[in-house]
Amino acid sequence: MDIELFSVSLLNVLHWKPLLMIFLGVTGGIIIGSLPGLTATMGVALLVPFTFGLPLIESIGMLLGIFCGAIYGGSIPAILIRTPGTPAAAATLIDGYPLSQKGEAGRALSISVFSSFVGGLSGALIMTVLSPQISKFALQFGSAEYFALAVFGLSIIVSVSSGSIIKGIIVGFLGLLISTIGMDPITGYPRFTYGSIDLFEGPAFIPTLIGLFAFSEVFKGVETLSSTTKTAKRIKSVFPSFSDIKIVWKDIAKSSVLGTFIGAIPGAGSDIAAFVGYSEAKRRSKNPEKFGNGAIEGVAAAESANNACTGGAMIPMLSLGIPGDAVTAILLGAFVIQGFQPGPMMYQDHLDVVYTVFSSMMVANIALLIVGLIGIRLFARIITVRKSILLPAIFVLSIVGAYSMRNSMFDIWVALFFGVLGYFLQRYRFPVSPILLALILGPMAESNLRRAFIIADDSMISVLTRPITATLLTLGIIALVTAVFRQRKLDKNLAIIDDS
Amino acid sequence: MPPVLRSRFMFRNKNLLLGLFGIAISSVVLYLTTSFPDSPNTSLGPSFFPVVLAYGLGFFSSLLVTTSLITNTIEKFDSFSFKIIGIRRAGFSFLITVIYCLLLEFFGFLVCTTIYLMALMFLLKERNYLLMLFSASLISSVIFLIFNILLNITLPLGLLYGY
Repeated sequence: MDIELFSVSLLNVLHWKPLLMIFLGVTGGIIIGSLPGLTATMGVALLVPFTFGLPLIESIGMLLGIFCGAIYGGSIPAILIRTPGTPAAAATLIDGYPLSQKGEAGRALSISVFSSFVGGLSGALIMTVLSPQISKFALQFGSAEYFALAVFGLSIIVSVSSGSIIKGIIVGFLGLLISTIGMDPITGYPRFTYGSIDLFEGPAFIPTLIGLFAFSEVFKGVETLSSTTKTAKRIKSVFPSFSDIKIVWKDIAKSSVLGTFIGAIPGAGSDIAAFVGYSEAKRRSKNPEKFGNGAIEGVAAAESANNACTGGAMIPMLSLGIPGDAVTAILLGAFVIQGFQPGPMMYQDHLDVVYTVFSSMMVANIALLIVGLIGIRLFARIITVRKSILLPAIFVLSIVGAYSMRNSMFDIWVALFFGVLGYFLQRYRFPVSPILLALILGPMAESNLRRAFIIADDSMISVLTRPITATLLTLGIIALVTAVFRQRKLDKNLAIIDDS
Repeated sequence: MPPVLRSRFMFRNKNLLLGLFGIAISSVVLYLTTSFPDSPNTSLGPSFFPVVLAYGLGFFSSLLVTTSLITNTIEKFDSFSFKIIGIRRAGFSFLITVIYCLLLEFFGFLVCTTIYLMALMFLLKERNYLLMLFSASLISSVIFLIFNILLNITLPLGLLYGY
């Protein structure tokens, strides 16, 4: 690691403008994450357009701030009103809400911020050490290996999608088909464009993700409009006590490492990490019976694990160019808009950018601790905002976000189309994330496969039998087959429960 | 199964219909790719990837159809009907959004967005008109200022300003 370059990057991030953007990003992320029904993915999708006009270093800082803030923000309503703001905070409510009911909401929230900070910082540090090593290995990759990597990434993501595996695969294929709209990457022939210049580059990424993750959610929000106004509990203390830190530090340390490695597995998101961290803390506890009734260790383990996941998810994204989940897929798209293609070559050609990412991630977690602790009372009030005001504002942000990338009305229609598509897909229990990942991995798979065939004189055997290619493809198939068996077992268990 | 019951089963079985829809999409893609040219350098031309994907989509959609017929149980979904007030509200919000998008370039962001926001708030049962006017004006002005001035991204100004 080039310590001198890293120090320069860190100093650049600590200038007032990038620092301000990181703080704004963290604040915006916490606000969106804390609003029930708005996921971290939706938060990042809505706030990405705010980074278009910014210089690279400020843009990266803001994006990573949003990412870290949104994952933590979900814990606020989980603790206060038993509604996780994001799926990642589902494990936090198990002990967070009972603590809140006992009048210890401030204690739960402050430990939640502290654990998120330690988890996030640990994830960022592990990312800084690990991702350059992985990228060195990835430098051996040729076209065939990249094709296999894209297929592997997609199969892993489909295999861990919630619900039916068949539906996940169908959506994956649909997304890959959508990714073929536009100019053919090798010959330049326009496919499925019907003469429309707007479609020559395919459906633009940002409007598509805004449609899938913001519009579809907001349509659902309008449909299930709840008239009940929930009030936040009174919060007394906002700083974690030393006695609490003494109780939870071992759980935080363990969950931070677990969360980072779970985050590094494509498809295994922060919700899974939080539950694994929580279960591990409960397993090793001397008083497991306290869990579920307001154990502060439960809050700490879940929150440190889900925030450590942010650093972990960045590892495959930065070193291989493979997004680990929907949020990192959006971040990858935002990097591309800024003119940088994440992957092993970035470590060769733009090491300064890589180090800016590392240092921004660390600073973002420190900002999370500061903003999180200072703003606990304010964020607790935000969750009571009226839906009748909030949802229309999200509609406008979605439209402006889709428009602002290319100042194009066409992109708004694209976002609306994908919003309706996402709404119906979710209604009929099709996972939406595979579409987004297919839009990134599809062009990578196609162009590399065809390039590999040209290099190998159209010999399929020599393309598919290269050691790394064959290994990755086999692993992808194993992941899918395992997922099918796992689902069959789950269906059987459900049938037994239904019968009884 | 008698024909009447069979058609009712088909209509109620959404997975079956969705599978058939997937097969239809894959057939259309396969048909469209027949007009794509061949590549002079390699056997994998512009149609190769879409064709493979269309076959994949068709295969797994057929699998969805088959499993939904074999399992004999119908997966239950929330019903989708415009008789349901929530669905009607979501439909209206979509319609209002389409009208807003059509008028945005003519009337400009500020005017159009303020009216659009108020219409949506009304749809979402907000009846405090002063709050509606205040929050709609505030939201549209803040977004306009952030994008137009801070981020240098021009939002439509409308006919009033010539574009």
